[in-house]
Amino acid sequence: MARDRNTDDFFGPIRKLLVGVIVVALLAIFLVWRIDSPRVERFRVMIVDRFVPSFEWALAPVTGVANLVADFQSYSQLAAQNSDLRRELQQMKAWKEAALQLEQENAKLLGLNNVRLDPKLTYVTGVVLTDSGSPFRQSVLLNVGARDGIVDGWPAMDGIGLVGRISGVGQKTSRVILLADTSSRIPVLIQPSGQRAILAGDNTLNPPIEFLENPEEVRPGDRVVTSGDGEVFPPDLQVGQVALGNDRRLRVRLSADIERLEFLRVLRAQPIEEVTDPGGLLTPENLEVMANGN
Amino acid sequence: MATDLQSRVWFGICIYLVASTALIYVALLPINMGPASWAGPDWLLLLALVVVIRRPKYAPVLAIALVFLLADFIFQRPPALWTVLVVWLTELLRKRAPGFRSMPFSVEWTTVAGMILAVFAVNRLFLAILIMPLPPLGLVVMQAVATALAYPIVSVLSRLVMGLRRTSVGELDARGQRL
Repeated sequence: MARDRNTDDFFGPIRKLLVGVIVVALLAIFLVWRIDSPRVERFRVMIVDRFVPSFEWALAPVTGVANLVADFQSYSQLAAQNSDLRRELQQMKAWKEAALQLEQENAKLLGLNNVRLDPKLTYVTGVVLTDSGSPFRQSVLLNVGARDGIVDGWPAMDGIGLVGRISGVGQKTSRVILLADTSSRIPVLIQPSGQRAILAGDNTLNPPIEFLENPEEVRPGDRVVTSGDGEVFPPDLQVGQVALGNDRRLRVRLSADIERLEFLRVLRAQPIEEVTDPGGLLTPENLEVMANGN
Repeated sequence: MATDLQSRVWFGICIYLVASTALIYVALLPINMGPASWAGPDWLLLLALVVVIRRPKYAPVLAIALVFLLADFIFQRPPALWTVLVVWLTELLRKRAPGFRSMPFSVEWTTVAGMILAVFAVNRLFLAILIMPLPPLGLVVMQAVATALAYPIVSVLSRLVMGLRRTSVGELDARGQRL
């Protein structure tokens, strides 16, 4: 016991040195990330790629059981749900009829015009492995990665609407930044007024619309689709409907159910514009001309 | 005897590492997806604090640094910033850990709670100084307060699950070693 106490004292200075070295090393990692973030982010993707799939065997059953419990709880409202579903089904039948007619009409018109549908929008389907694990980030990890041909920047959709875009591709996994994430910015087009705007995530379920030129022309219920501006994101993907938030801001009620994502389609879009660097300062193009002219 | 003590410490470290990995894994489960309007406590931080105060030897600084660095990378946080703050916090507490034994639990809780709030504030300050995207203030405050409030819960749980009792001054274990 006396030895024990002595060893504590003996190791005191060495321990302090060790703590110092660890702190300096951590600060160095942080600084490197701040200076050259793409490289460190690639390293992050690599770590996630190693760590998360090793849990895959455990993730699936636990998630399954949790969902089972949640489903079981919903049995209590079975009767109410049933009548709701019946009513909805009735409405859907009418819509189905309309959709079938439109499909036939569409096929006829396409045939008349000799249009061939763009084959570049095929997709890869992935299963959601994990969420971001933090209340401040909105992203999910898919079990498809570089080995399945996933490329950074491709859009991800659930069956109906846009969910987000790929950001960070590992060998076996890839991360989808959801539209609700605070760093998500998607150029959108609001139909029928045809106005262009930016859908900016703010960590809420219904992201707000920003940079809208004439808000008075936009009504709640208008359709929102991606506009393809800047040519980094494919146009005409369904996003959702305009809604008026409690804070009187125009928001988008997403078509995709981002609270219950299970399978995601990653669209093979060919972005014409590649994002390689953080980007320079945006100045009016004629600024230089004016300066030279004077 | 020395090897026996060594192996017990290694066992303790292993338990800490396994418990931390389990917490990371639970946080990653895709059960409640979508933006939350509330934020729960940071269980990983609480576990580290409780172990450092109860049995400093079970959570060596290297283990804490590795666990939090892994968490930083996996939870999409700025790497190493939160880790540095946690290492600093645990080193402060490690120094005071023997002192807590002679104090009532309420004093320990208040001290730890103050430090938790401080470390959240310093983290946000750093992010602001380095012009990085700040998470929503409301959620961060909620998480900091929840973490401070949840300390007794983790303290009790660590006793029930991991067998980390609050020790009193000069208490020895079954083999007469200092705890």
